[in-house]
Amino acid sequence: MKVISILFKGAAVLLPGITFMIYYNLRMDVQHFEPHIYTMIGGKVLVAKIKGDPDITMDTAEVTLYSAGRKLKLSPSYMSARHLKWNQRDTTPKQDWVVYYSRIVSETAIGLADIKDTAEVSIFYDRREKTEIAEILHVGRYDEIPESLEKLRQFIDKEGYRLSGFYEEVYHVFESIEPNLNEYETLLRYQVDR
Amino acid sequence: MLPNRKEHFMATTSQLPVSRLCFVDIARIFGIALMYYGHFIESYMKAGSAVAAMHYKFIYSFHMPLFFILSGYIAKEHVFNTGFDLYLKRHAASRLVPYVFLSTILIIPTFWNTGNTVGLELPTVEGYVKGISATFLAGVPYFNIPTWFLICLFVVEMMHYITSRFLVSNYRIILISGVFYLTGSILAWNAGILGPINILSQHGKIFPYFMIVEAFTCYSLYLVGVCLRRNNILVGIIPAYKCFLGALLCLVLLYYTYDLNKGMFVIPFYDAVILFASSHGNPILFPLTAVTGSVMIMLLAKLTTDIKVLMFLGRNTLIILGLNGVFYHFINDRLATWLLALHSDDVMIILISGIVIALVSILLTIPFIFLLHYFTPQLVGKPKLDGPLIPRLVS
Repeated sequence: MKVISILFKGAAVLLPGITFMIYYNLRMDVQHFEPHIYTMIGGKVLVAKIKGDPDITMDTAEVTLYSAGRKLKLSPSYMSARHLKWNQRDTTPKQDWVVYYSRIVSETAIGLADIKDTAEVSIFYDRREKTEIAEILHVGRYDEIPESLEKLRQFIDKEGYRLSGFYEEVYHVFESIEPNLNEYETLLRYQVDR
Repeated sequence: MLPNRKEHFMATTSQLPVSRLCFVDIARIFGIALMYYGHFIESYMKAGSAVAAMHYKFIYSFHMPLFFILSGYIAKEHVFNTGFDLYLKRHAASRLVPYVFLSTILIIPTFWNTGNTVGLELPTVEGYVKGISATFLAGVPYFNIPTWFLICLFVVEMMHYITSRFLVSNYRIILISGVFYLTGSILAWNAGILGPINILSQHGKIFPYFMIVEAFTCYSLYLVGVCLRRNNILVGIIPAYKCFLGALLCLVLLYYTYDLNKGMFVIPFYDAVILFASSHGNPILFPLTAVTGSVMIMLLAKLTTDIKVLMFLGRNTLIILGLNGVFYHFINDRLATWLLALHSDDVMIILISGIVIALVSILLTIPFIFLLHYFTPQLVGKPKLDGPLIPRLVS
């Protein structure tokens, strides 16, 4: 009887907490795919700046940053691609896009060893400051990204913000680790202000 | 003549005079001083200092493992002779109650100063819901990060209750420590979903993390302390020159190994051992630097056991640890950004300013040590004491 009583008391104490956790996590599951605005923390990045059609330059960037990571003994991190102007996608021909591919590094990363720039790629460290951004998770093929961007821009308008700087893609699930194009996961970000 | 190996092993090691372990209190306050320094240096690092990042990496290679090794060093023997109910109650009162108290009091300043609370949008209802539920339901102290140690230590001590009856020889201690370390390492690499840093992301989910994954690794370090104590290592009087030479040797070894551990950390922008995030890096170099650094601090503590101020502070480390949250969340970032703009990453200035600010911060906690001890000792790790506001929590 004593054990049963303890179990009942335990359940009475834990049940509200467990119920709340389930409710909260279900809500996060839904919100995961919704656009949102927040302040992104700053930090140091290793950048590979490449000009050209991203369908081609993305592979170069991936290999460059991965090799640099191995050489400089960097801990694993996601690759992102940043356009300094948010409207480069719409105003510039694809073959002239300048994209800053990057990966986060620690402050202890200071040298580039014997890694040198090439004719197509210039590689360097950069610091990124705390920035207010609007973000959406895009799940699916890259050619469907404009639809998600449209949804994100509508959200930005609705919240009373405006596009003020860069546009960025962060590749969480991409071709090197997922053969199915519809399973790709890419974070899409715009720098915003009021 | 003792009847068997087990009794002999336990009997020769478990009843050492408390006075001989004063150095553990000193070692604890050295660890706390490193924590204060490390947390300030972290703010320098976040502001872009490469020099600070190296100091941070050096200190983090051993300062938190030190606390677990020291906890194992002073762990009571025969804990399995205590009933589990009583054991649980005592440890909940001395670890979880301070965790709740120290986390709760640091929610208050966030109403007017949002501070450094990564992943929380404060002051918003959504932010408080996430922060409070993470703190109390998931055991992730959003509002007072340094108190994660209390949660982890509580889980480690529960593990010790289960395994203590099997720790009857050095061989067994090493074996069990190895098994826990291996399990902890595998979990750290492959069970990211169980890691508390999941909460920190924008849509992070809340599960009852309670540092359980990291507790496996931390318990292996705790057993290092148990093993040192059982073998009377550092217990007796050691000549000062031996302590000094030993500490120097450890320092040299640490200096040449801490930065070899790179490229395997979970958090890419923190190239350092961070137990809170189960980010250990290389599985061989991590325990090597952790134990070397801890022994170094213990040897330095043996050299300074006569200093009364250190003894006093060492006996109050729980309060000092908990109050570090005030500096970590509300002061360090702004101060470091301002200072770095003045002196731009100079090695000596980083070092000296870090030491001065760490020491001043610790000194500022002293009045609160007296206040909290007087009014609410039960809430700061002394549950057996009666106080003017609250009666004793356990007998």
